[in-house]
Amino acid sequence: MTEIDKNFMTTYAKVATHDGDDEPIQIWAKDSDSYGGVGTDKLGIWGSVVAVDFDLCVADGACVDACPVDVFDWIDTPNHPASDKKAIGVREPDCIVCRACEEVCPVDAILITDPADIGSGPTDSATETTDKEETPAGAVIETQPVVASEDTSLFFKKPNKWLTAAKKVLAKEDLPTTGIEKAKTMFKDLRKMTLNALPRGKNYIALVDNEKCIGCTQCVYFCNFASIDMISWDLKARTSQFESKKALILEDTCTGCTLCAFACPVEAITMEARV
Amino acid sequence: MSRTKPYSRTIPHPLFERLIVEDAMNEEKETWKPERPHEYGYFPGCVDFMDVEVKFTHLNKGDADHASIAAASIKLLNYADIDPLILDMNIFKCSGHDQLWQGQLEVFDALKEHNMRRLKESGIKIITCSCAECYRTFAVDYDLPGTLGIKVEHITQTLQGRGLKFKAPEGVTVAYHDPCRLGRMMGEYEAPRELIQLVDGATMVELENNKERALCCGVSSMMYCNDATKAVRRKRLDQGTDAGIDLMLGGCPKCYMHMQCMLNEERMNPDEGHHHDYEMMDLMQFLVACLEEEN
Repeated sequence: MTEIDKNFMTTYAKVATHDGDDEPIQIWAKDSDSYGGVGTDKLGIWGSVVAVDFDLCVADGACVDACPVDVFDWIDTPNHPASDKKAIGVREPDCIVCRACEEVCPVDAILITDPADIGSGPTDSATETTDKEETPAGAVIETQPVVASEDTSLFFKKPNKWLTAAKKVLAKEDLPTTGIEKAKTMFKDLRKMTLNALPRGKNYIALVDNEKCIGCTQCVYFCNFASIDMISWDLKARTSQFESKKALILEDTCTGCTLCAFACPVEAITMEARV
Repeated sequence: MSRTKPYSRTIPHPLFERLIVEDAMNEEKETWKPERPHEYGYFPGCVDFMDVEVKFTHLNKGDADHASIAAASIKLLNYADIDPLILDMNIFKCSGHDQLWQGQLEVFDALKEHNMRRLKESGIKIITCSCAECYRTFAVDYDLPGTLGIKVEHITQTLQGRGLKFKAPEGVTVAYHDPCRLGRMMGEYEAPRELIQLVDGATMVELENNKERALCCGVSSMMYCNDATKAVRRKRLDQGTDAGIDLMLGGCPKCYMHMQCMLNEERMNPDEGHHHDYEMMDLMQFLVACLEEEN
């Protein structure tokens, strides 16, 4: 497996907790045998909202740098083959779900789940302690990934059964890859560069320069919070700016994550301190 | 970064195109040799870069998956008893089609120089592409038959006439959307249609505008997507609804990307009242989905 299991909340069992700054961090593993505790080579997934697969984590530190609200800290994990320290989401309740860490992780070891989605999923809330009986080891649970957008109108999804059928056929064979690793690394490096170059966090807000904005809507697609609207300014002519619509950042929901600035092809978005 | 250059002011490059430009400018000097000689080479194009882009942009919420076009092509080539050399993006670079048509000639030249050198080293006789744009670029702009003596084929031409058999899991009405590069530019209309006719259980209908009069997906060379190009695309999708199809099949990952994007956008904003109740797919993905029953 090369990335964190997207369905870990349904297919993994809760095996232990670890102290966080405010709330305990849930530790998940496939079953109790695949968790050995700190100091062994079987660590499982740590955290629910901010889930880090410790068996994949290579302590690259990209997530620690990327996080605008300082959720991560280091924990020593001697004797683990991948790395002897891991990034742990000790301040998990602070997470603003900007997914910056998810995007920069070189080994795809992080999965962020919106706290609102966890309650609606088949498992109990992440903030509750493990008073519920654990999932029996080895039980096969067939469920859909916990994605809240499934039933909201924002991202209406219609499953394409033909594509599913094609993927099923393709999954049977180990076909050679065609360069996904290179593409991922390049994207992540670029994203890291943007993150390092811009101020970010709760105290910052993205600002659109209407003179530069060409109304291409790329930022709208990139925003994780549906925090960008395209506003018509009733411009008479379609000038060099092409479109009469311009992006507008919604102040209330902008988390200062810099994704829109990263996406903007004309550098029209800057990060400004909130007043 | 390419976006500080003056031409980038007028073309909003998606992130993956910026990365391709960056990749083009990294000169690689070391030589490469395939493990064993191959007659066929398969060039996947930039599908993986598109995939990472749609992952970032949330378009994957509508399960767009471009890499499966490449995987499907490899699978089908194997099914046709062809063992292709995978000319993947770790060794090759983007064919440079978009950069050429956007006027970034120095980027195109850098990409072409790299790819020509790699193609010479690869020792293949025939190159096949699942992307209509790569096909045109290799055949015309690189002039591979003239310069290196490598025959250039679109994957539909490679698979054509090899006695392949497919069976659709259920009855389905499909229409073929002619990509501009494969159709009007290279004059290939029949090979993809013949492949569709091999599928038992699939009924092929023609859209109102087809073959040389086919409508465009609207975003040629990733130049710019705006209200006007979206109007072209919507008109094309409306023709699909009129023809009563279940699936629209394309021969180019870019057609798939743009149509899929439009369908997703419509489904994200259902109150705007535009709705097309069918899916866009690449022909290769469809054929692979029809492989199961036959074997």
